[in-house]
Amino acid sequence: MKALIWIFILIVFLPIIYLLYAGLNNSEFISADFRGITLTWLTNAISDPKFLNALGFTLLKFAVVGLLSCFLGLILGVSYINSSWWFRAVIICSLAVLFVVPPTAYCLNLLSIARSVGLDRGLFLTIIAQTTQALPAVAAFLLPTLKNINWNEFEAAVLLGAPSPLALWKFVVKKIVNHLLLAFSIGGYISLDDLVANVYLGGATGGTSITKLIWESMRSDINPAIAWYSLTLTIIGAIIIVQFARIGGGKTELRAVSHVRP
Amino acid sequence: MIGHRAIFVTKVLSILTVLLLVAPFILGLVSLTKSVDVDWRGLLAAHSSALWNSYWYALLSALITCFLGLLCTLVLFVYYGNATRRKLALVCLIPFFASTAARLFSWVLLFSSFGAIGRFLHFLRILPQQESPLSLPITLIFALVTIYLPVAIFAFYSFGSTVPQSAEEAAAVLGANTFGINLRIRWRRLSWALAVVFFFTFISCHSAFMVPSVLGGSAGWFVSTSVDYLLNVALKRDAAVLLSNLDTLLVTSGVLVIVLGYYLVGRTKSNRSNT
Repeated sequence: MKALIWIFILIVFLPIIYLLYAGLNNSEFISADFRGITLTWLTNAISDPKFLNALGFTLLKFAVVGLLSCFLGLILGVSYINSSWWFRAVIICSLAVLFVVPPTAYCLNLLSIARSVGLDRGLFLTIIAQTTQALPAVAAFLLPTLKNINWNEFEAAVLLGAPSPLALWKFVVKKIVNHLLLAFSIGGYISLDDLVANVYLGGATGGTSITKLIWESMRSDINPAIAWYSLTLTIIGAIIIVQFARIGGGKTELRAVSHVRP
Repeated sequence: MIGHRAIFVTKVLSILTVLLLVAPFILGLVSLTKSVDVDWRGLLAAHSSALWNSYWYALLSALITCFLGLLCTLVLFVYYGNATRRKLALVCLIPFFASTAARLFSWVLLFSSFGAIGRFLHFLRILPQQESPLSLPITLIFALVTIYLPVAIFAFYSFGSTVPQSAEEAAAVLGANTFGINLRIRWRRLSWALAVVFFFTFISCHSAFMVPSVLGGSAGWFVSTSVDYLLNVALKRDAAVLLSNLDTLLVTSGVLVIVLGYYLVGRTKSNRSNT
């Protein structure tokens, strides 16, 4: 029975291990037997302008979606803890709806609305859709954190003459800065992992993210460089794990993770 | 608390945010009510398999994920100490953040006829040479389960570890065996985790797009892939929008009925216990 957990760990890690193998194997056929180690595919990936462009777009979206969802999550969280039950119910129901609605349906309807106001596919719409996808997870993560803040300390500091921004920094932001960073990472991760918004709303100006690049390569041109594209995403995802380890795995983290949807 | 003006501003911003973000969902429902002249029977007949696959495989994947996640967590609690348990739970979580596209790409390579698993299945004659493991429904379920299993284990661990150490010790002193202790003591917390994990996995699998597009053959004909087909191959945008909105209506009303039912049952129980 003790070995069972290791079998599961091996199964869930197998794709990552295999990516490393495919990326290092000295064969242009990605499913081939082992023929020695090479870094050719890594150098090919790094020198590919398509990949570098996709990496740039992915990181840009990661940052923008992370920041936006974090900001909106904070706004929703602060108004949630200072509101009556019906306002809270509206916020919770809205977040639940955003989580339940399939991304394809959401993106198609968003595109209809955007077209009716003269907007077309592009980076802006992709970011809106990805922020919407990220918001339930980010808000669910930030809500318990904001609830646990002792606002009296902040209020007392302001009453005693401390400047509001300084008091806010010292008694609120400083205490939750790790949680904010993790919320930012979760928001960014959802943008990183998203394909639907990229495909339906990206258009010509929306840029190609690494996920979209992998998707397109998987359908047309499978080569070992894709393993490195995929490993790049894995490395970015590892940043989030580091954040988790820093603040400790608990119930609040679980709530956030359980809302992350690829 | 924060100043009244600041609270007012955040409330206004919240309302605007909610309205802006929920607008596409509302538009979808409104457009569904307006399309009365649509041949619903024809639409349902054409896409019934997509609707069925979306719900059936999502349900199967969610059930298997819950079962395996629970089993793994119980093994963690029974056979490992606190520190190791926490580390293992975090280790299990790592693949979840390793991008779905990356993991899917790897599964496609492994399960293709030239891949290690594909060749192994052919070698064992479990699968005929002419059939690709990629088109099997079990491959689709396997991929979906492995995508969500890490988060399920971590969720069960997080909920299960909230049980106080003293309660475990007391049960052990009273003669309960380790599996019994873990199941009985943690069941209340684990049942919450079970609901959360099931809901999360079901919704995520139901709206999955990447995985059913490449795995499962005809079983991967989900609503999302049908919508993609209608949009990009059949070029029937209206039908695609209608199908996706119909699916949204089904899934949201289903969730609403379950949540409402749960709330009413809870209320009735608490009323009974009060009287």
